Amino acid sequence: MPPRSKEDVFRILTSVLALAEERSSISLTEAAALAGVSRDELHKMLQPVLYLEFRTSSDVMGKTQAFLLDESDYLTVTDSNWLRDLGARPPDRDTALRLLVAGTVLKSVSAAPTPQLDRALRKLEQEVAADVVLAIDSPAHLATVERANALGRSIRCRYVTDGGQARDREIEPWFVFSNWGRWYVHGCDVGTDDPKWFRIDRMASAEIGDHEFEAQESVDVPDWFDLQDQGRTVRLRLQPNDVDALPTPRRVENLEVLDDGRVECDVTVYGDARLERLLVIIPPVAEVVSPLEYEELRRRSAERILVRYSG
Amino acid sequence: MDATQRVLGLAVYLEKCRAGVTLDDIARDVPGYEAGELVAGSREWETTRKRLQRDLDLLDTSFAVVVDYDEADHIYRLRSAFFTTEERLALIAAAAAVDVEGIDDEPVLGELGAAVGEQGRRIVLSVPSLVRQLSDAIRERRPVRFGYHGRERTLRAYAVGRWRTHWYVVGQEDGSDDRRRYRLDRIDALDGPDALSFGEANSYDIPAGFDSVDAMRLDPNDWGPDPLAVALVRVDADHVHTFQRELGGRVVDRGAAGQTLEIEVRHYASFRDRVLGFGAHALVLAPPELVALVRDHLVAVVQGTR
Repeated sequence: MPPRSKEDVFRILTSVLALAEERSSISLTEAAALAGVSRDELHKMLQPVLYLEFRTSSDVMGKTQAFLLDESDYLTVTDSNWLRDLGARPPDRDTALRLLVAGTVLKSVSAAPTPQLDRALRKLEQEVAADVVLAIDSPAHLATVERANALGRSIRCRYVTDGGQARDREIEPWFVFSNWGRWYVHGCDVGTDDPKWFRIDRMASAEIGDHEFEAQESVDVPDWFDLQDQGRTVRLRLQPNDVDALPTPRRVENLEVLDDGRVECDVTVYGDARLERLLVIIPPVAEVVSPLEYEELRRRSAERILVRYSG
Repeated sequence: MDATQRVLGLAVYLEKCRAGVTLDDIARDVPGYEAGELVAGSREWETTRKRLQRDLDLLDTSFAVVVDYDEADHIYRLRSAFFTTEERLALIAAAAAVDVEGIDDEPVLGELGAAVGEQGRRIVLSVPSLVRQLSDAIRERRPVRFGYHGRERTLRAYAVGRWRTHWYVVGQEDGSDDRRRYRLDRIDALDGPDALSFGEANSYDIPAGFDSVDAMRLDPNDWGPDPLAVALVRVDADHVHTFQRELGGRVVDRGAAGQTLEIEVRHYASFRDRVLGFGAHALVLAPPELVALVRDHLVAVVQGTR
C-alpha cells in the first residue's frame, strides 16, 4: 500500500481525536474502523501525538499528557483536545446551523444557567447571520420526571389520556426523551412490567414517588410509534381553505378538486378521540362523504358538548 | 523526523510563543526544521520558509489552526481560537443530547459535534432543508420565490423559526405592506425540483426594529385580526394544565371540579376550534358573542347532520 499523504494522516488524526473527545474515550479498534484504517496503522499514526515532546534552546515543550492510550487500548482525552483548542476557524455553515439548533434546544430545556453554551451560541448566531427562532416549550412537569429518572424513583401523576380520561398512576420513568416536538417518558405502571410511552404534557400533576427501580438498559429515541391500528380515515368534502385549517396532527391524502370549487380528501387521524375532535371542529357546511356512520358520530359528539351550553 | 511530529511540534511551539516568532526562531527550535543560521534570501532560507508555509497550510486545512504573518516585523503569530474549550465542550454536550435531523445529515467525522455517539441522545428535532436555504437567503438578503396556496410569492425573508411543531418563515411579500408568515411544509415548488428560487443578493434590508422572537409568536390570540375580547372559560380540573398550554390565560376562579380562566382572544374562529378540541371539558362562559359563536357552530353541526 502506498504511504498516506500528510493530509490523509491529519484527516484521520482529526477524526480520531474528535471521537476520543466527543465520546469521552474510544477503543482504538472502533476508532480505526470509523476512520477507515487498521488498528495497527492508527496506532502508528498516533505515536507522534501521544509522545509529542521536544527541547528548545530554553525550554521543554510537549503535549505528552494530553491524550492517553491505556492498557485496555482505549484512547482518552486526559486534559483537553489541545489541537481543537487552537482552532481559529468557525464551523462551516451546515455545522454552525446544526450546532446552533442543538444548543438552543438544550438551553431551552436546561433548568440551570448555561453561560458557556450561551457564549458559544452567540458566536454561532454571528456565523449563521440569520435569525433562527426556536420557541421550544417544555412541559411543566418535565423537570420532576427527569429528576425521578435520575434518582431511579417512581412518578406519581394524574395522567390525562388522549381521549380526555384522567386517572392517578404511578410510573417507573425509565427513559425521558423528546421527538416530534413533544416530551415522552418510556416506562411502566408500578406493579406491571408492560412498557408504555407516556406524554409528559398529559400529566396534570406529578411528584416523585417512593418506589425505586433499577436503571434500564439505554433506550434509543424511537423513530416512530406504531399507531397503525389507531388510524381513523374519513373522506371529507369542504372548501379548499378549510383543508389547511384542519386540526393537527392529521394526514391529508387523495385530494380532488370538484367542479364546484370544493375539494374532497381523505383525512387520517390517530385515535377515536381525535376523530371526534376533527368531526366537531370542521365547518358545519363540510360534508362527511364516507364512512357514513361518522356523520352520526359527528352529530352525537357535537350534541354531547352542546348539552353543556344548554344547562 | 516524522512530518506529523514536525507539524504538531510547530503548533505547540506557536502556542507557547503566543507573542509571535520569527522564521529563525522556528528553524532553531522546532524539530524537523533544524537549519543553521538563516540568511534572508539564501537557498536554505527559502527552503525553510517554503516548508514552514506548507506546514502552516496543513495546520489550517487539517486542524483549523491559523497563523498570521506580520509583514512589518516578520513575525508568525497564532490566531485566537474561535471557541474556548468550555464553549466547545458545551456545544459537544448539546450535540450529544440533541439529534438535529435534516441539516447536514452525514456530518464529516472531525467536525464539531459529529463524533458524538447515540448514547445520551434524548431529543430529536427535525429541521426541514428549507430552513438552511432560507437562512442562507436571509444572510445574503436574497428574495425568495415560491408557491403557496397555489399562488406565486416573492418574499423578502427576515427570520425563520419553529413554533410548536411547525417551521415558519416571516418576511415581507412583494406587493404587500404587511409582514407575513408562511408554514414551510406548505411551500410548493414553482418550476423545477427546488421549492425556492433566489433573487439577487443584497436586494433588501431587514427593518431596524424587526424583532424575530416577537414575529414568531404565532398563537392566533397574539396576532388575530378580530377585536380584542376577554373570554371566560370553565375548564375541568384535569384539563386546566393542557388548556393553558394550548390557549394561555390566567385562572380567575378555582374549584375542586374545575377552574375558570380568563383569556384575551384576537382570533375568534381559532379560539372556537381550540376550545372545541377539549370537547365537553371546556365551556365558554363569556362574552356572549363568543358563547354564541361556539354554540351556533355546534347547533349547525347537529342540525346539518340530522
